[in-house]
Amino acid sequence: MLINRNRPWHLSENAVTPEELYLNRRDFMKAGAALGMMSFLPFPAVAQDAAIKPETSLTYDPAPNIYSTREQHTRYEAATTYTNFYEFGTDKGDAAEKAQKLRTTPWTIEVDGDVVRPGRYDIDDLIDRTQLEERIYRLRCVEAWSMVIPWIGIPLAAVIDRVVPTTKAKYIRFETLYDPQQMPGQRSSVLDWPYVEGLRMDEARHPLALLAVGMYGKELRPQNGAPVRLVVPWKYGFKSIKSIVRISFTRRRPLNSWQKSAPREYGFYANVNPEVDHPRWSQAKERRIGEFFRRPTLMFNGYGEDVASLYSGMNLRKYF
Amino acid sequence: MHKALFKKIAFVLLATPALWLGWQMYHWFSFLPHELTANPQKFITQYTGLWAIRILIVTLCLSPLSWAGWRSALSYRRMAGLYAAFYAMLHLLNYFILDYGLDMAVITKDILKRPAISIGAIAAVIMMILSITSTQAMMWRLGRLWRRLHRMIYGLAILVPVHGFLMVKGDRMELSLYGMILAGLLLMRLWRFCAGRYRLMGNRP
Ligand code: HEM
Repeated sequence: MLINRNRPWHLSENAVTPEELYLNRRDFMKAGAALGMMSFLPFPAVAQDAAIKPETSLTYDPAPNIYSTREQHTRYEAATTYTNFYEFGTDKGDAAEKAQKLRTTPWTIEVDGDVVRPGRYDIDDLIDRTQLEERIYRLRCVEAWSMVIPWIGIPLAAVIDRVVPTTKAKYIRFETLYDPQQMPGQRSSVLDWPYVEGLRMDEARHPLALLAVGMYGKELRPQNGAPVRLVVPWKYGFKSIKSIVRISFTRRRPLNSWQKSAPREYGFYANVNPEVDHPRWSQAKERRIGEFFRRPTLMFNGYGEDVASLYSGMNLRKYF
Repeated sequence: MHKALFKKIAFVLLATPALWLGWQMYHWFSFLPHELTANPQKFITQYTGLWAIRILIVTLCLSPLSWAGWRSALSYRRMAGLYAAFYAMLHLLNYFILDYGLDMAVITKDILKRPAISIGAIAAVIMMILSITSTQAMMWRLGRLWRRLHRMIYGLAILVPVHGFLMVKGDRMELSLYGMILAGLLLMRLWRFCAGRYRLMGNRP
């Protein structure tokens, strides 16, 4: 049975600052910053921009998933304000500030390459909203911080099965929306736009790999990759591409954006690995957002039991 | 009269970024909303690093300004230099204590293994030496050596932007700009030095 649950953390420790207040505080701060004032008080409501989509709750299967962790969720406020989404700027707060007017309806996804049913799909034709489930995953950023996020989505494998790749397809390639009008960060050349990510087919079919449309019981916010994003919890966060508009099935390994930009630092696989350091910082430890000191990073972000077999016999130092 | 007042104003101005940071950290430790993002330690590294390099630029602008006719510019040099060192010190303390909790195994490995961090560490040592020897008493004591020693600030003008540039992930615009300004400030000195030599050799430019 599908019911819409009122999640306990909406009112518990996760609600230190309700989001509405938080957003208003930001507006106030923008005005105050000019005077060098910094607010720390919740401020009375001010008019919200009409173009900003209100938060919508999602209906999903409430049964706890076997892949879900029981760790404490990261505060919703942190997960929605501390994001890397270079399409909107390189600061962590840029997307929360500048992405709110992103048009996410209608949203189409181009499916092409070695696939039996190519075409331009409406998002709802690819993702069956009656099949949504919740997965509480750890997310480990390559910058050595991490979160625990209750995602809502469907297994990527379900979408793959729907469009039926041919036997020639060895890889899956994703592309983020390219629209400098809406995504001001794309006017600068920090990365080669559009953002590209990819997986090997067997990785993509792994039951942990998720296409998410929501988190914390609600639709994804634009800064978190609305309306649909990938979540591959055993890999560094940059693999989990946001706001997907194209899915291609390819014979050759796609060149993902970060590898293209700095091949010595970011690879194709990008599996979380505490033993293989980034050339400029250690990956042995991470800061769980909300905790004070760093904690050890786990091999494959703690999902080794499920995914290590995908890489048996591979030199993970070489294929980082 | 005016000069003393201006100095006080400069002293307060250079302190404001640190005061703001202290205010925000007070909120952070009191579990109140703050502006240090969800990852305050990382924010503080960037914030203090950027203020250290900005004030280093200010410090190195003072001599050229004095050549250009602002006679009292040089009297701000020590204050500015010490403030740059102060922000660099906050940068280090944050890294050692708040970020890595004095986990010396990871820290020493970082400093020895990663060139970008090694460069920062060398810069930090230079800054400390310059700060300790910045007093009037040290100037007298060290005599001619003092001037030589304090030329190491030119080394800082190279090491600091290189360290910052290498550490930044993503957008390197700001650090590139600072690097170019510092290179320009070094070139101005080189130019002046060469022109001086030229005159000494009996040539009139
Ligand atoms: C042992 C010495 C040092 C260590 C371990 C160190 C560490 C770091 C780290 C980890 C970052 C990266 C921040 C990030 O996450 O983006 C950084 C950035 C930076 N550091 Fe240092 N640093 C050291 C010395 C210095 C000194 C002496 C200065 C300047 C006087 C300095 C200036 C900067 C600047 C300008 C940045 C770039 C800030 C940005 O991210 O925009 N560092 N440093």
